[in-house]
Amino acid sequence: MLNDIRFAVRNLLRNPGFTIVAAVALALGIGANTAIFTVVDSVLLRPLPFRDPERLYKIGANQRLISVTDPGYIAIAAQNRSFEGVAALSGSFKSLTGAGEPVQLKGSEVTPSFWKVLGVNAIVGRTFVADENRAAVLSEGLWRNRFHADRSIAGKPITLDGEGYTVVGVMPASFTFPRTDDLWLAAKLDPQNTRNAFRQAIGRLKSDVSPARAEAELATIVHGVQTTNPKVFRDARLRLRPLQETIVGKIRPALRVLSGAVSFLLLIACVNVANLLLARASRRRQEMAIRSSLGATRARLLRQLLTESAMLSLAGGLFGVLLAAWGVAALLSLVPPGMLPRFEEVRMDPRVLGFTLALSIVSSLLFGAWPALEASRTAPAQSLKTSHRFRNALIISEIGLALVLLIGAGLMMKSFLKLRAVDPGFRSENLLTLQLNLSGAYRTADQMKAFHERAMERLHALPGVTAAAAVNWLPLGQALIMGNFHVQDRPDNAVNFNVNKPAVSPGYFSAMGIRLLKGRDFTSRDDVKAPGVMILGNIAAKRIWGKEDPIGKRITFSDDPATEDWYTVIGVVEDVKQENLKQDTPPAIYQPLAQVQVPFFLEHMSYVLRTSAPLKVVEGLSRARLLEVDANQPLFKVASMQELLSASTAEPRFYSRVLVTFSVIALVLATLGIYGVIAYTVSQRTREIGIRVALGAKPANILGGVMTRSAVLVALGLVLGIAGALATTRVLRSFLFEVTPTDAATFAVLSALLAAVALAASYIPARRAMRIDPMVALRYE
Amino acid sequence: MIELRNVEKYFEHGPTKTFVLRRINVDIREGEFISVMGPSGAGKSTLLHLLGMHDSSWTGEYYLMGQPIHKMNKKDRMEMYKKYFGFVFQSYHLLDSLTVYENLDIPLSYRNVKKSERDSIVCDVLDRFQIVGKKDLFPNQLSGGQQQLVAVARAVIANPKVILADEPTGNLHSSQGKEIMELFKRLNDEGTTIIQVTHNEKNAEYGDRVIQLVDGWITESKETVGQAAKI
Repeated sequence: MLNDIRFAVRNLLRNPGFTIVAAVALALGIGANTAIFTVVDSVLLRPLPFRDPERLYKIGANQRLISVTDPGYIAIAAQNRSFEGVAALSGSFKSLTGAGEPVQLKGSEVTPSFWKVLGVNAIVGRTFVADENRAAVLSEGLWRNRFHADRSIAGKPITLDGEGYTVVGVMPASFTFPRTDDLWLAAKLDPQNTRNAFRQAIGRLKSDVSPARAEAELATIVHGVQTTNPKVFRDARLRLRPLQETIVGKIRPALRVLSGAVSFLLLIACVNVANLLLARASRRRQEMAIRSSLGATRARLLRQLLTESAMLSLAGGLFGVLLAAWGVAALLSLVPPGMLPRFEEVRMDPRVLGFTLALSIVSSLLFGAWPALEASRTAPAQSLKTSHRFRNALIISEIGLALVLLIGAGLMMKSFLKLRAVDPGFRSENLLTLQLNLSGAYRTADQMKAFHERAMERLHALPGVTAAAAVNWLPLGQALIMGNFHVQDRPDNAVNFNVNKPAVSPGYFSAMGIRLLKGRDFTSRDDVKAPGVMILGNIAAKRIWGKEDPIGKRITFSDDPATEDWYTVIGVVEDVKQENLKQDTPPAIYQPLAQVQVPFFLEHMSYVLRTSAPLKVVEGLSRARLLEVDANQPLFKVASMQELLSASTAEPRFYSRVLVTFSVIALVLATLGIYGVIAYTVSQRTREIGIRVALGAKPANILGGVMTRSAVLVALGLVLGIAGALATTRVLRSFLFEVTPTDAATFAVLSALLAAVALAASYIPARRAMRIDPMVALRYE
Repeated sequence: MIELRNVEKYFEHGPTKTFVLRRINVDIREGEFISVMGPSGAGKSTLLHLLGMHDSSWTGEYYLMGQPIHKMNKKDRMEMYKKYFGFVFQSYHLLDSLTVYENLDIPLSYRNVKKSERDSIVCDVLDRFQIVGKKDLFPNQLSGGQQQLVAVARAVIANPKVILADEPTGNLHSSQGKEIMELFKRLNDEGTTIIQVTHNEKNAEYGDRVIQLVDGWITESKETVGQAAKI
């Protein structure tokens, strides 16, 4: 065996051209698979980094595992016997002041049981104990960046939203649950609050309890609570789902698509190498015959040839690992923020290297088995014919596979371009957005409105700002409130749909470039003392009143309105996209900011500035002006509207880029493949072509003959590819926007492209055939 | 040692048969030096390859050391071949990617001889053929005569009872050819049976007997006054 390995390596080194081409093809295929497997392994396969993670479950209402109320969680925690422990958590934003420049932090409120349920410990200090108030546990990053990794931080005070908290501990850098939080705060549960259900619940199931049994027990708990207080759980049915699944479940379809794509790439690479080996096998027939005559059995010859394939594959695997390391880094740099769960955990480890080794061995069997069988065959005449047919089959399948990849990439690209072309309903150029969450001293609606007024005054006055306005739910800003409404003199069941309910300052529509279709905009006179007014989006206006003029009609958001709760419609505007570009444009009803009385709707605010100056300059000035209003109210996000638009198409852009990259590699490999097959065929037919020329064939006849042969292979490959694409592109349906998986234009254009490239690749050896000198050819043997 | 009875080989083209060997009846004794001669296309090489079990599509009876080869399957024939035969080709057919040492080692490796034993045997043969200094060279670094010398060494390395040689001096100068034939004679004197195909009458004189083949038939089988007698 050692001899076989030695001879295999020597053979490969003596044929550097073949070895490099084959190793590079394999490296591309194996490397791409290793890169994607690294992500799949880290995200989907590797267990969560907690103690016995298979026993961790998320508890929620109904199929979507909706959050529960505080009293609902309390009932679960107190009455269950199925769990070793349960915990509740909810998101939180806090402004940190008094430790460097004020900054908005992202965090979670958690019950003290949170740490024990997950089985994690602090690296400095401790985690929460029962009934702890105003306690904070910091992330390692925050501790390092803001508190200089002070090892005596436990017990020290910090100021969050203007209030004092005590730091009790610091978590390790590897702990990032539920997201990449900056800190965790001790949750204060309100046993009376049945209005808001925003606590996510998790639990560690006892080792002898099944999920079904736990769900049955939860149903009993819910039923018992419903009899005394139906508002605690409403109509919810509590369900369990493995915690890992709730974290990574959404990305699974996308990773499956990418895994499928790189599998195709590897198959194409293997087909390429198999073709190269088959060509080589026919040149090594004599060597195999000599070895046979020296006593080698067919098994021994097969062993030698498969050893050569394995060495080639290992070389490809080695380069593939290097390519994969680069590929993983490139993938992670392209992934939009928040798209990939467990992003920080993605890394190559021994499991991935083991996968690469296994893949290399499987690949060597895939591409090496048939050529080895061919080369070791002892009936050369028969093997020549079979080899020829097999090579044709390989090239047809290679073209087919490449076309499937190309079409998949083409569909994603078309979908992305369509999404990018969607009109958001406003003008995005030269528009800066600044988002903040008011906290601390700002508790009443009047306090918040006063802050926003002072902020708007300063921002209006900035040089380069041509228009400034405020809105609480910024389009594409990822925050939103929807709800129902009532129309005066209309029964509720005649108008029964939810609307977006943004509150805006005067001049918002013109600042955003949203067209006013009817009536007027809000003015400074539409304040809290003036009669209530509303502006409708066009979709809402048409759905409620059809062709009737909505101006002057009356609407309320209150379920039990007094007279002053009815608002008059004063205008209609063009609709805008709210959550993202993909979703249907939602109906919206706008309120003037000055008439909003509920503090919750005024805490989170975005200022939009139309500028004639560079956005970076205006950004810097804006930050400074807002800190003059209140230095303890930091901005948590500043972005141009074009950046927000770009972020909303980030996912489809990412998928397109990755699939296009894979399909381009596939196209190159397939092109090299068909070039190789036609070139080899021409060289094998040199004598025949020489005879034809000697008998009077014109160069055009020779060219036509070679190109016809090539065209037949390409055509068959295209048929196979189209059939394959029709069968497989349906998995992309959920990723596509306004493009069907069988989009005829995409199929046609990419088939034509592949055909053109493949025929162009065939033309080079065909030209060579045209120039064969009959005298040289007839002496060729 | 070797008996052929009514051995025939033909190719079928539709209803017709083209015979390459016709009713071959031959007895070869152990220790003989046989030359098979005849015009081109007579079937000489075919006969040689048939004897060496490279060809399995023939009819008739073939006995080797009393064993009925015609009744054996491919695997058993291969085992018989490995046990009794060595082959020398006209074009040497050394493996270009292997050194002289490795070319000699490979037939032993194919016979599952242990490494330590192989090393010893190869060194012995290198010494016997006086090519120790060339053991690390590749075939393309040797002259034609040297390559054929290595080929003969490779053929005898597994201690075969029979050497089959197909035009062993066909691609050599006369002086090189003479060296090879004298080597064959020495091997024959040591007990190895030699069966060679040759066009060269001088080469045939090294042997004990000439078998003439014409159009697939044995037309003559006569004793020679060999070169050995002249030497």
